[in-house]
Amino acid sequence: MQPEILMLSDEEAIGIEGLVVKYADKVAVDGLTFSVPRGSIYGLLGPNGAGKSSTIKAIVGLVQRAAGIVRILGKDVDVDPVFVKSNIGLVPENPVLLDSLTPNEFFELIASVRRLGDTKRMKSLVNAFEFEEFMDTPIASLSLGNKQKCAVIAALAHEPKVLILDEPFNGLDVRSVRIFKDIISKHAANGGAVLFSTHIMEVAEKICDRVGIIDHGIKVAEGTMQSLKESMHGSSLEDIFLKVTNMEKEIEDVLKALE
Amino acid sequence: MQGKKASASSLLIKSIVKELLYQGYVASRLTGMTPGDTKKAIRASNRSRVLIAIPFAIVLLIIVFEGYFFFRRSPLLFPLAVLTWTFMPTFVTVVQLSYGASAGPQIREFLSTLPIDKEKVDSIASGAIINSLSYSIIAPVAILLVSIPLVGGWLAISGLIADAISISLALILVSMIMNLYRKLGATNRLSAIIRIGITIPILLLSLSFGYFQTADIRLNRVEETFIPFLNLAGVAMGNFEALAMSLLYAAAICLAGYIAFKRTSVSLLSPIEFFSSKIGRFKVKVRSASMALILADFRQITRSPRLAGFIAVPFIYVLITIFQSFSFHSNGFVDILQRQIQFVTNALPVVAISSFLAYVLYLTEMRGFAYIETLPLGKFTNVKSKMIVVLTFYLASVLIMGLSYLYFGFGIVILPMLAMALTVAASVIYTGLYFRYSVKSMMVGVVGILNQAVYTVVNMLVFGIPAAIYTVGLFLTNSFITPLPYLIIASLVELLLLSRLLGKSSWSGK
Repeated sequence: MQPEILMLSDEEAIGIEGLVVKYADKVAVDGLTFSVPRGSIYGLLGPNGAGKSSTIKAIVGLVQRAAGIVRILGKDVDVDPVFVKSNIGLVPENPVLLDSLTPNEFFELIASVRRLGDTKRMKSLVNAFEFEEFMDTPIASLSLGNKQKCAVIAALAHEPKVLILDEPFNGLDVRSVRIFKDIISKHAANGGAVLFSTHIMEVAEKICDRVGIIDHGIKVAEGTMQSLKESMHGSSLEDIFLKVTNMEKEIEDVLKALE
Repeated sequence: MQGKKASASSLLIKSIVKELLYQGYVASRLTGMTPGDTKKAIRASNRSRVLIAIPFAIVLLIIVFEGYFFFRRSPLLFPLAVLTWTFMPTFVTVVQLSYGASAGPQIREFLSTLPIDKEKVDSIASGAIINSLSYSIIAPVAILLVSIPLVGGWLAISGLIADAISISLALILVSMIMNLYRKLGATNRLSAIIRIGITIPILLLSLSFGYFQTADIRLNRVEETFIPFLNLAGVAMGNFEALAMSLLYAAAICLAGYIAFKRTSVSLLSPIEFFSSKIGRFKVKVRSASMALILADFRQITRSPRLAGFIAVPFIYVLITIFQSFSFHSNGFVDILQRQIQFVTNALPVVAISSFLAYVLYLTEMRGFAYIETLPLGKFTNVKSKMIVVLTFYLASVLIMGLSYLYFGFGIVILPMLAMALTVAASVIYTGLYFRYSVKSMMVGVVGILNQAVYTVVNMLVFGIPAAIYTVGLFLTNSFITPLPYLIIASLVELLLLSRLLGKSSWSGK
């Protein structure tokens, strides 16, 4: 797929052009181009190892880009990284945090560096995710779900304009998933932008305004739910996903072999 | 069937060794970041077993040469040197290997899911750790055997026994620490004290070695035959009774070491458990990014196993220096050459050790890399906070060391040591750059615990070049003041160059 030429607009919250990520001789992301307008939720979908996490890591500067441009709120991430970092909230794929600190100390660090004069938002998030009782427990001894809650609170505390979420619901309980999904939707409704990767089609179908499906680092489909269903003649996102990633036939063969 | 069981065990041990070395090399469980080129990382991790053996071999070679030139006059010094200097790398390596594996429960959980009893699991776990150290165990033995023509058979045998004792003692100590962690929990203040306390045996060994090196100790026949450790002197002098007794003691210590280690080896392959569930709130309101980072670093120092032990090292060295100063001065040699040598052997290592503190700080921060990296911090803010922490510890060491030198009328050494704060600062910038580039490019093994070779060499150059310029000047001019400007200029040039490099680095790590 040829990279599209994107026009920089005031509406664009995230703009990716010709993104390439390489690990040694392996190309993880190959010329990926997409944009996320303000006030929208963009789902980045793909099978395991498709390059979703590499894309997100490259956008937030956790891995080196081999090529391509990344703009957040119209600013090139290499030109004004501090502005960009001030305006993004990241939930990484693995909630690997500073283990020896307590969530209280970790949030203090985040609040200080982000210069949050008012920590009301943080406190209300702690209440919302029922996290008060773990505030003085070392992060290392928290369960996966509680570490994830800690990561989510840290990402949302400064009310960033852009949320970048890599498999954000990993390990969260049903209640927390519901609250988080609601926060994401409200964030977009209030003009914020959300980019999130997932392999759970139902979630993407319910909350995303637009999805991009990548396979082997290449974008194989993109559009709104409606436009994809129409153009791909699929009844659900799962059908469309299996079709564009050429998995339908493969699954049929596997199931036949199992019988 | 028995044969099948044996091969299953050896396959398990082989697989765990591979995983241990891989995790020790890439530390992916520690950081959550996997290496870009996994195949290369696996190949390199296999080589790391040889890499770990190199320090053991170098240490032993130095001891052999020292044995040839100096220790023959005092027979206890050779085995004691072997015991002291092989204990440290064994202890540190076992701790580091287990640290690599302890970031995740995978190995323990994998073992617990297999249909084998606890006894077998313990054997496999201890076998795997000892196996991963195999080259490190073989290297000293080989060097001691090869050194027989040089140092003589009895001296080499005393070294071999000392080597066996030191490895067993290191394993016993590691086991004791793991037991203490299990009993006391890993996050309370007491366990932080334990982490610093584990350096006490190393300190005691170093001090006793320093004591035997400088004091004129004469052992009587009973002492050199029957007293454990001291009878290694008897072995070195060819006393058969001493040999029999020391072999008996060594066998007992080895057995105790194996049993203790076998019992705790599974814990070594498990995450450090945090039993103490709460940490009392110590509220410090900071609204400056630098201060917040410094506070987080200090908090981690008191709680991270690696950091707590590491920060104690410069202070231990300072204590050794003070102790040696007393010994030297009691022996009455205080000429300029002795002072120059004392500066090179005692003061410079404090600079070197302090410059590596930044590495450990960054390594600890890797746990939260994704968060720290996406915080709105300027390029210099994080480096600045690390620099303040490192310089605080360095200057504290210099202060204590300086006061002791002042006492011995050697106060002038404070000036070059203060000037060397510049090169310590330069090495912090280099470390920041190194981590930044390495993690972003997902270079294999860069954050791995065992793969510190490239970093170590370059960092040694960073503090080594100004230190070498000063040392050459010191010996040429016989003055501690004359070469000082050259030291300052060289350090400032490094600081400037590295700061420019940091300034030019981009967010994407390009």
